[in-house]
Amino acid sequence: MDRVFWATCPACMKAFIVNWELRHAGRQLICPYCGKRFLPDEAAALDERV
Amino acid sequence: MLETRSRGGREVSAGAPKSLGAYLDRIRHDPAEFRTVSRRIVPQSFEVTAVLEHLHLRKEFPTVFFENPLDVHGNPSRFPLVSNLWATRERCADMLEIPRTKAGRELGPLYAELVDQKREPIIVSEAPVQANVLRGDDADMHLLPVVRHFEMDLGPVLTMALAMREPDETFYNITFVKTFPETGRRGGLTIHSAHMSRMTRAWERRGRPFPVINILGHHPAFWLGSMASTPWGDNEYATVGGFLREPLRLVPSVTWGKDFLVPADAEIVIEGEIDAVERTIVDPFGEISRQYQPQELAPVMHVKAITYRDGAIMQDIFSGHPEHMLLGSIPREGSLMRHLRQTVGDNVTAVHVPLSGVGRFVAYISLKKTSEGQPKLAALQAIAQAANLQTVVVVDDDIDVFNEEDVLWAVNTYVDPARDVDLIKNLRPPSDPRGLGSSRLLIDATRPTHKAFPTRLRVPPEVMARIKLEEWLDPVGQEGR
Repeated sequence: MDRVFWATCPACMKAFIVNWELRHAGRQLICPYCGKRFLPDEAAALDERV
Repeated sequence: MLETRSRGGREVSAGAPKSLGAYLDRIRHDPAEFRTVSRRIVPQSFEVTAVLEHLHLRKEFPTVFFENPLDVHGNPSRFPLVSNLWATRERCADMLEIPRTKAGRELGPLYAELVDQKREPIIVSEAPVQANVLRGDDADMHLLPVVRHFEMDLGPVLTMALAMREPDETFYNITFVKTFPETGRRGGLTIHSAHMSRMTRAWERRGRPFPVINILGHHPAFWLGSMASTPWGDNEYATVGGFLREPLRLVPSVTWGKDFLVPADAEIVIEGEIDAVERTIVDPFGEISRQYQPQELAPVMHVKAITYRDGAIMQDIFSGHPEHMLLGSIPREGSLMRHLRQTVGDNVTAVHVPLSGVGRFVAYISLKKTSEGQPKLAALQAIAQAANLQTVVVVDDDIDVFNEEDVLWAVNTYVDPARDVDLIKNLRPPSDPRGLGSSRLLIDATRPTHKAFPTRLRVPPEVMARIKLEEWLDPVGQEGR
């Protein structure tokens, strides 16, 4: 695992960690806190620092 | 539809094949080893891991048997749940029929000896694990008391092992893999190990669904044996027989018959098929490093059947805690010790893969140094053999590698960082979720012998032997008389 990012759920505003393979894969993430499905670009915030 | 067959009772008779229930019966009368929770508990609401975490914080490490967990539907589960089974080295030794007094430096090498004592499995026609068979919509993983472990986990997770067979071959691989049940009949599988990933790729190239089983309970020696480092092509059903000290009994699966054999004395077996192309979202999950594995894509298993013995017990692992760490560290100590004896020499005296490095990332090695440079050679051999190691510390034989304070004393006393610390760059990254990169740290913490150097203080051993403390200290209450 070389790179990760953090996504903040647009529904519950909690952040969780995601493998970089999902950043541009066109797949919806699943918030582990509330179950909301959303694309990375729909996140309330992204932390993509390397 | 539930098929109930007549065989497979919970009672254990002399000479019966080894089972989880039989092992628990051995320890259940010792409260230091075995505790029960009889009140209703909700595994999906972190209540199981909260109990285990409280015990961990109190530095108590019993196996915990949850008698009345709820299933994922919220109903009382038909299966009790057991966790924290491998949480002490002494209990791991006991599971392997090794004296508890040999749970220190002897345990790894004794484990390594068992790796060589493979026993070919035997095939039986009837099995306890098939006393009850659920098929179709009744084969529902949500009937199980699946545990949600940590607050950022995606959901409840089955933490035990998968078994898979290489296509067109007869050997099986057993690997701990997390199963994320999305529904009762479908779940994502986090397959990361080298051998099972290779098998998965071979099956996927055929473009058809392929068989896999999830084993949710067996004698603890079965699992310790499944962690042995074996070459590609070894049948791990034979390897675990060496650890059980009896041939593993196998039975044809209810889904594929003789084309896929399952452990006959397991508690619960999920028979499923992995779709060759489908991927689903899994993770985060609190992993061995005590950090969260990031969300990722993983293969999908579709459940075909669930079979279980009468009175079946479901096992779970308290991830990121001592039982998870010891399952890996003891095998690594054994394989490292063997490799170092072969490549460095018989002067390597002990190897410890400590819990402070989560049983994966750090090794302490002691040796009777015969030349300067030899400790560095040993450290290089260690990282060559164990890909997950990130830090290797080599000390003299008079340092107890199982006493971390002793090891750090050597580091802080003997090490000149400019001379004794080496950074090895641009290796393959360790397979773990930390994302720390691809470098390794080697520390030679042996006492320098190439120059005049202070030595370690000590009270003369003959005086230590002569002075018996109980003969010299005044009895309590009679001080100064």
